[in-house]
Amino acid sequence: MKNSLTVPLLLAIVPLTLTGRPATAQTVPAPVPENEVFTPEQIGHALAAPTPGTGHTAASPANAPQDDGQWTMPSKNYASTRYSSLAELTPANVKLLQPQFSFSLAVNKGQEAAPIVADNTMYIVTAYPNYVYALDLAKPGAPLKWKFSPWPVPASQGVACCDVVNRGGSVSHGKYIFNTLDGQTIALDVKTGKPVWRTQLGNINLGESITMAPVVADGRVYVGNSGGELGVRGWVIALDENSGKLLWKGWNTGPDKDVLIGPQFKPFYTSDQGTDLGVKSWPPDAWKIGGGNMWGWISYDAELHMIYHGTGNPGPWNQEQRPGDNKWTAGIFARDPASGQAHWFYQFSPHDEHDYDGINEQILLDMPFGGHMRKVLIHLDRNGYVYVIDRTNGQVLSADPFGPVNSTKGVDLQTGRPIMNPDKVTKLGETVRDICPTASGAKDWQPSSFSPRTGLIYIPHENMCMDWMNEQVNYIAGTPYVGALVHMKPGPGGNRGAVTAWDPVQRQPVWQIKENFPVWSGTVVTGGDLVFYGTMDGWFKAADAKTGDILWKYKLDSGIIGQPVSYKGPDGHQYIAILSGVGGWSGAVVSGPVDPRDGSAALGMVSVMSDLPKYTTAGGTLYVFALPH
Amino acid sequence: MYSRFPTSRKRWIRTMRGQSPAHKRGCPSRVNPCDACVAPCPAQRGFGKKRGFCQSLRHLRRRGTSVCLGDRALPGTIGKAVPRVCVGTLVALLTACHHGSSPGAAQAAVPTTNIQGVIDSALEPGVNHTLITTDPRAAAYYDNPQAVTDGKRLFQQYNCSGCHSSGGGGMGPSLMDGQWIYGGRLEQIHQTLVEGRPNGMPSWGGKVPDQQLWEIAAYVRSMSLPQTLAAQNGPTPSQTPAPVPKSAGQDTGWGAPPKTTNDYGTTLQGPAE
Repeated sequence: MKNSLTVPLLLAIVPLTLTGRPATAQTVPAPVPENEVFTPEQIGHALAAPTPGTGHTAASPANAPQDDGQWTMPSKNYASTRYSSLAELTPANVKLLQPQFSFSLAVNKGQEAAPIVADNTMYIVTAYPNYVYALDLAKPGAPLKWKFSPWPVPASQGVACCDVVNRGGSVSHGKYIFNTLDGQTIALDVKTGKPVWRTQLGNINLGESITMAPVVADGRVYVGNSGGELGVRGWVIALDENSGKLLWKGWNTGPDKDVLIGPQFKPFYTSDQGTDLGVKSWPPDAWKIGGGNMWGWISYDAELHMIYHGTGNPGPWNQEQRPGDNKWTAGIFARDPASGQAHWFYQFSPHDEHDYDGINEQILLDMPFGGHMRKVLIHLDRNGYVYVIDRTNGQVLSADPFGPVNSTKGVDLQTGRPIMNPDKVTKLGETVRDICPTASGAKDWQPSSFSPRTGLIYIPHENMCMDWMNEQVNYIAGTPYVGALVHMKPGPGGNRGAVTAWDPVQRQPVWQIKENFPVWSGTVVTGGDLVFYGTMDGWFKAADAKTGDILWKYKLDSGIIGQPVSYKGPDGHQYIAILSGVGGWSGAVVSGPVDPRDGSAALGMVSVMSDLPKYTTAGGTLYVFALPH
Repeated sequence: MYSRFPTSRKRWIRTMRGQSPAHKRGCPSRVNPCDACVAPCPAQRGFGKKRGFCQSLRHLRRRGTSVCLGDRALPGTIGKAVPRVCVGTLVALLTACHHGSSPGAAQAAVPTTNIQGVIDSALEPGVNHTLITTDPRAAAYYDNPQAVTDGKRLFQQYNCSGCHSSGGGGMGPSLMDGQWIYGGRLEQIHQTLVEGRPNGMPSWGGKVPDQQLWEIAAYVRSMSLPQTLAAQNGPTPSQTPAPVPKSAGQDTGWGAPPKTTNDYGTTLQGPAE
């Protein structure tokens, strides 16, 4: 029975006793003022002016073959365009899009994987405990064909820095190949769901885990480790696709022989030239616990026979404990796929101070630049710049900011080095405020897409900044090695996320959709000129690829941080699939055992995401959409 | 290169070994054989073939499940003398201690009523048993302001904060929400620290001096005390930890879950749209 007297009484008591919450509980901090970040004009356009009209920007047929309507790898093709040529869905009819079937993943953690479609079967790997489901798309409601439970070691959850996510698997030659949180790579027979091989690569006692999606190409499986927040030394490994046997292992720190640097290594910039820089650019022995992990995207170049992969942040985050350039962290390698030998390297953030991993996707394109068609890779880095890099030699052609930036003031293309802003250098025991972008970057792992029809890159990203104080940290194997007290905050304008359509030739945004929360899902763009993406509060949206107008949206059971895909079903119709399930670093305040009253929780992310529990709850469901038919 | 860091190796070693006479070099005589012994021993393997401080690996290996998690290298020590924490799981030893060498604990006649939380079982049938996690060593860490202050410092130095942040959690669960999976009395928190827990909590028994584990336990328990929560000033909690009252040891800190799982309505703005 309600009594009007009890209400004020409860209000007075509840905050102090029942909930124990102090009056100073977390609220989302005020946005960083506009004038705190550099304008593109202040940063300036690098090198040559934009050169429109000398050619059509597209991926080469070797890297982006004719679309067969399947989606066999997370990046769709080797060029990583995430472009589906299917055009049944158009801006005119997308408003009729409706769910066709759904499937519970039975795991309420961050779901970052792309559903994989091959031979009328859909394959999904979940967050820990990394269940794999195969769904029969040829039957009504897509019933389960088989389920595989790899049973990763439960303690692996304790070495996963940022939720227990998995970014997907790939189908190749009758196998579904994926990684587990406790450091295994497993190949399953797509017919039976039984393992063909499983190889243990990581050691959780050292803090190693694996969250990335393996890349399968040229008879090899390329895998990298996670653990940049636990002092784990990063590596990339190639396995034989048929046997799972180790072919080569390239470390991302340490002596040249470990890094697989030999006579073929010809980095473009002088600061990357020399012997054993992976040792010399560190304090003694610090490279052994120095990070440089590869937990994001590896690209295979079928045209130039190369793989490209970024390297993660150096450890610990406290930069004062590791003076030097900290090679080969926070950069990008080109390696020979057969031997792993490095061909070139470029460092986005030498001596990174702000956790700017270099592991985001590479989109491989042929693009006009300076009056010529160039073979480029486009990389949207955590540090806030769109890098256009000549992928034949590692030269940076341009680097323009796509998010809020004040930690650096542009990239010096003579040296390749970012121009550091001394005001944002992190310090021991002193909080440096309003550093942009934030630790998770202007953009994190969530992959962009590229449409050859519009020539635009659709970037899902963040608009966040942070306060940062260095703390002295001790290395204890298998435990965090961070050494920073971070509190994140919204960037200028207060919208914490955005989807930006970026013109890589004109080097400027064409349109932008602002979102309240960071856009932590990937994007997919279709032949019908639609861009699909999800929001952390659970809306799955379709935007016009030319204008950025939201044409359709549908609310899912939980926030979205997955990778949408577009495929042709057995009935010939176009389908769009996405996993719901909020989590990941940004969503840990919902999916993890995290308290929103501690702004420094989840490595400082909770400060800026403490209101997310008001908008969504943990979940994990596959949704598949199509037009009524 | 690292001179800017105030922590000298000597000071760090003092930290590692605790202040108690029971933890002095070599641990020649122990008040309680269950206390961790942190003694100098040769490095086993890994970088820096130097002497360091560790639980003797061979000593531990004789007792079965032990594993060396690697090196503990501090700023200022990398590549020089590398202090090491060698890691052994002392489950068998410690379990034996609980039953065998703490008779005082077992007979302390802690009332079995009003004790909530983790279910503890007696091994003997028909005995009105006490809880096996009762431990007389806990008493000294109640109503002890120094314990929570020291515990706060150690919580940082042993990287507890890396997973649990300032109590709000991250890689590991929140410690400030008053919910205890494995019990919230100091004995129970201490036991969690000693043994580890299966979903990622490492075991620290034998790697960290036992007194320090008690101090960390006291700080962890303090995080959810109303006084500690009320003292939060700004976005970082648990900076002024209140001493753990003796009453918290009766109450266990465990209680019914909050009314809703995401009841943040009292402190947060609702959706804008």
